[in-house]
Amino acid sequence: MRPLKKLFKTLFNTEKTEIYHKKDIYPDTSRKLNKDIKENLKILSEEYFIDCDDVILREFDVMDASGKRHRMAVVWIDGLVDKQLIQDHVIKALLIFGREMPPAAGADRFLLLIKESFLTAADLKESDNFGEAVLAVLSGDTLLLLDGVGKTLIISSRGWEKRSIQEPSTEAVIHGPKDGFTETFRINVAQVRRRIKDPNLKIKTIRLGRHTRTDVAVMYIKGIANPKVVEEFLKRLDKVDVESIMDAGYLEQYIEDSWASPFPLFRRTERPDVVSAALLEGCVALICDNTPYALIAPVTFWSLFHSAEDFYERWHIATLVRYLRFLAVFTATSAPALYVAFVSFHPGLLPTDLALSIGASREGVPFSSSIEALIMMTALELLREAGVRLPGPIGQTIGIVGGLVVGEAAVRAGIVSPIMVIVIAVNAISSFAIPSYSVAIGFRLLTFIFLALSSLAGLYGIAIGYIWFVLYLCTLKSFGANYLDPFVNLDPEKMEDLMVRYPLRFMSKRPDFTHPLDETTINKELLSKIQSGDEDADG
Amino acid sequence: MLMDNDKISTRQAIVFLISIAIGAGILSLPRQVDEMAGQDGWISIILGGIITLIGGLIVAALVARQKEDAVKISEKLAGRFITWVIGVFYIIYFLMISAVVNQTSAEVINQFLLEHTPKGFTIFSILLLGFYAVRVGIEPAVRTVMVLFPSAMFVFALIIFTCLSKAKIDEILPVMTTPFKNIFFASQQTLFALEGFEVLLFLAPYLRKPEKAKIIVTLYTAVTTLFYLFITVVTFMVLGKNETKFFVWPVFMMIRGITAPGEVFERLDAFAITIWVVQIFTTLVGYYFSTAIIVKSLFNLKEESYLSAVFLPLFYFAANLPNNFAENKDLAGYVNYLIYPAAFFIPAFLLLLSFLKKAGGKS
Amino acid sequence: MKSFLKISSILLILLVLLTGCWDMVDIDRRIFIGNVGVDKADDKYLFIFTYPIVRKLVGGEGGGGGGGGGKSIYTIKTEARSFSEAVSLIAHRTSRRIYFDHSRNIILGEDAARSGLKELMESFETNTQTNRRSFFIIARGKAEEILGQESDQEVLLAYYIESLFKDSQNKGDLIIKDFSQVMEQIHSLKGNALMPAIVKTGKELDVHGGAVIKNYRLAGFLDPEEARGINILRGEADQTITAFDLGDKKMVVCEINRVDSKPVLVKSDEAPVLRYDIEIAASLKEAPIMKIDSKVLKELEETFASEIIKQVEKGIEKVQKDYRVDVLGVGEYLYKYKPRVWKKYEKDWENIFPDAKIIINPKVKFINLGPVI
Repeated sequence: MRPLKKLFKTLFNTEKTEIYHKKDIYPDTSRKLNKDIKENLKILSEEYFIDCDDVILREFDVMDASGKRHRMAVVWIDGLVDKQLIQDHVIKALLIFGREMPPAAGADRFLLLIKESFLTAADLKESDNFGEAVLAVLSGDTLLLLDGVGKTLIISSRGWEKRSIQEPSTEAVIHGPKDGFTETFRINVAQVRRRIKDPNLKIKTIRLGRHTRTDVAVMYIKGIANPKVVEEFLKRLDKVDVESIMDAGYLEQYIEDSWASPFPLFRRTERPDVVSAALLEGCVALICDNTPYALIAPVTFWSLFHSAEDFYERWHIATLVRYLRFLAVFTATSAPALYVAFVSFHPGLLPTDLALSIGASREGVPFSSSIEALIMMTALELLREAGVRLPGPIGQTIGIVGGLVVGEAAVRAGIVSPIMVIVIAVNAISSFAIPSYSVAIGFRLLTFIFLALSSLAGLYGIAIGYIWFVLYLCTLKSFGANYLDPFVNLDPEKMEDLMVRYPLRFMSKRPDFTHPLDETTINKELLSKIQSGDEDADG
Repeated sequence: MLMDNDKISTRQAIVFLISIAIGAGILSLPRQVDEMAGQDGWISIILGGIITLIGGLIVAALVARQKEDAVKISEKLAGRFITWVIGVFYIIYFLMISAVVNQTSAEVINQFLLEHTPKGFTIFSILLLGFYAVRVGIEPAVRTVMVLFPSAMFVFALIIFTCLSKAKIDEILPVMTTPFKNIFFASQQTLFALEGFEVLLFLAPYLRKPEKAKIIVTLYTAVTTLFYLFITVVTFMVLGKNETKFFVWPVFMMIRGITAPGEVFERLDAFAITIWVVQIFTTLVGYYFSTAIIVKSLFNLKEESYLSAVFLPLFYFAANLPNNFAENKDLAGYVNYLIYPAAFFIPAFLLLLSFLKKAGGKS
Repeated sequence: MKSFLKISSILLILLVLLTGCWDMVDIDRRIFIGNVGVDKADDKYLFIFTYPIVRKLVGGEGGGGGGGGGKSIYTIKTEARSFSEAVSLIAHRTSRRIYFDHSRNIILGEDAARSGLKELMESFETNTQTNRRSFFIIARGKAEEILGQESDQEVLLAYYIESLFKDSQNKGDLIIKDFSQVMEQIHSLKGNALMPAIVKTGKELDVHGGAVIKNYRLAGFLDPEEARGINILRGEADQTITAFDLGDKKMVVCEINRVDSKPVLVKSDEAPVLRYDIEIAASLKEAPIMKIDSKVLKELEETFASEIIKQVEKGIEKVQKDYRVDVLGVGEYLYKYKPRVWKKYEKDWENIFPDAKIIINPKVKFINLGPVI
């Protein structure tokens, strides 16, 4: 009985494990530096950095004008620092200009002198404890130790090999900026800064992850973003006490509203212009170190269908393309299910010619339509995964070859009917047309569910499935925004951007889902002039 | 968290009420008015709309004054015993209405869509959905209705629109040759299709602006009446008054007779029924919720979402009581009588009490 | 414990629900009946169903090819008392499920029609499976003959018959009504209706004229001119090609593009007197080469108008005097627009109608004149 109980417990135990406990990511400031430089160096090299062979400790003597020698040392990590900066602005400055330094009354004074009058490094801090010092070294800064003082100077010298700014691989546009995020935190933040030259763009940096100590920036525009949203963000981030934040994806899963949802409750983007546009809508953005994309929230289901280009091109095409995307979503989720429903349950709905030709083509196929669909969909998923894993050109070839050859072969072998291959092809192409990859994953899951429902009860099953799906989506919230806003409250003003990509001239209000503080985006007078067709409106 | 999320805005309330009313009534309404009033049946619908408006305004006045659900109101005004009577009455009422709706939908699905699927399955699956809806709370359920219903209604109206190609306008003539007595009796039949506003009695505590109840009710009556009028008139025009009273479900038989432009679909009625399932769902959600709220208020529970598990078997049992369509029709007849107390008399009674209490009683 | 209960109850529910897909019948396990035919056989009916053998039609690819050769339309017959009974009987002999949603035509043999259609029509109407958009046709002769036709013009017999009606270039000579329209007439006219007719001539099937049903029985047929007349009277004669003589052995062929027919009650004594104001827009298709100016055109129009009167009167006469059924819509008009007058005639309309006087007042206008002037 006991082992059975245990089995049940392990199988069905859905107790949530709390990940929120006391945090420990800020450096332990209790252990202070010694005055003796040798002692300090010993502690660093034998306690903190023992077996860390990439930490370099270089000692040198600096002579001041009176001939007195001061023992100094620099500590840095090879590969993380810009060696040129250390050589030129730290070591060189001290060794050469040190001779001109007036004699100081003590080591303290000397350090002060160096810090304020002689070092030509741009970014300089002081610290008196090992915790901060070690963290600084690990982040790519350089420590400057001075014998006789229990303090150290932390010089910012980060300079590692980084990927240059390239076109984002998952969100290409035809016209539009092609700079994407890279893995370097500061540069990413800077890219957003460049676009919003407003001091109201606030960037709060916090550090998360006990071992990874990843820098995370929370960005928002004060005066537009609702302070309650920002507060909620910070509150949730505060609660995150985990071992590691490898990627913003981890972070997303810790702070999102609903862990069970197959649909993303954050928007991910590799493009700084998308982030900037979102910030201007009142969203809050998160940028994580070592992650080449940013997270944006609050998000609605529909914003997952926007691509940056929508707003740079003319609105007619943008609107039509948007509808095309909805169609793509519909086909991607329902195509196999509809196939099964029409072919096996309601052939009366097909035009007679089609019904007869499908009937003819399915003669001799051993499986029922739903099993056929299941087989083909599984095959499609396998091909997809394979295509992702294989490098570059091979991956694409496999995709095409897989599709054509395997489909043809399957038809010839009599496993599936030709119409099934077409349905699956339409399904696959539609799912690629969905702009957001994270949403597409959710839809793939949905396809299988709809297929199952359709095999049970045809069109009625699909109807039930859709109702359930919408019901589920309506329960989702993203930082206070209803996931299916603005349908949820059919306010025509707020629906401007949904059905039609409104010409920018007439978009007078921000979308509502972020509950922004400041709603209007255009000078009201100007707007009314434009809307009444006044000729001088451009003035 | 951010907004006061448990409240329903005025617009949402209007759509929710409309979605409750428009559901199973579509199917049999043309037949019912045709049986009694012939081709002047459409006038009965307008009359029915006026009656509904009166009842709705009574409910609206009650809700706007008291801002609570009916059970709590009657507790305040009439004492525990009467409250229990009223509560139990409403529970039975909703059980029966949803049984009629469930059976109708199962029957239609069996006839047109899925011939061999047992009715229990269709009823059970819709009940499951309703159960889930109550479970997640009123707000998400209302949001769902907001998202689903307008498009479903629009598509359905579009389908009916395409039926106009076979319509002969003069089927409505001659006008007003049927004796008014018949028209009046027929309008009583329309109440089953038009009602839905008594749910407002139980939605009251969730309204963001209960004082706007009058507007809610007026708009709801207008839209529902117009929609039904549209469908009935088109049905008359296409099928003629003789055939309409002949079919059990004239609307779907009419849809069967047309093809989509371009001959894309052959049997549009299967498609129309799929859309109609959405409308049935939105109708049932309202009833389930009301029941849950009644029980919650009667027993003074905190959350109503867990009650849904209890109701599932109860509703299922009720839904399976009528065995076939004829029994269903009889049940619907009883329900029609119950509408009077449920939608008119009890709210009027409570309203009267609230006036008296206010006038005579303590401050 | 709570979550255990929750999950296990969900699983149980799922198990119950997933016990079967009751209605799943693959498309290749179905037969799509194309035509239904009914002939009289003693005191029962002979039901004839035709359906395509899909394999032979299209030559299926998936799963091994079909062969050529052999008939592509299969006919199956059975004797039964009603439609549903017939379906149940042929179910014994068919290897696949029978499905009527794509059926195009229902053809009733002349003998079946003459002996009484009430039960047949009811059996079709109460069966949900009947396709209400199929054409409901009376055959001159036996339905079996018609349905035995192998046509070279179309692959499917059902298409062939259906297209004879739908895609006809000369629609005015036919009565085109589908099942729902016929039944609508039957119900509002209490057993009277106009129905399409079909006959086999040599290697083809011919649709022209129509059939008149009186009191659920076939009263007789209409030939093309009579049908045309009735159509014009009812305002349903678009796209009709007619010829008329010009005297001097000259002949003009023109096409009626649009007909607007408005009845007007002139007098209402013993029997009503109605005048039908008919406006016709026509185009010249073929005419002897002559100088056409507005005077000549006016003459042509007047000649055509008197021709129209002749044709319509022919149709009226057949229906009024020979068959004595009101399928012209006179009663309908009175009922709808002049209900008080209708009250006078209502009870005895069957006998009053043949005495009703109908005056035709056509106005013709030529709108297209062709390339030669």
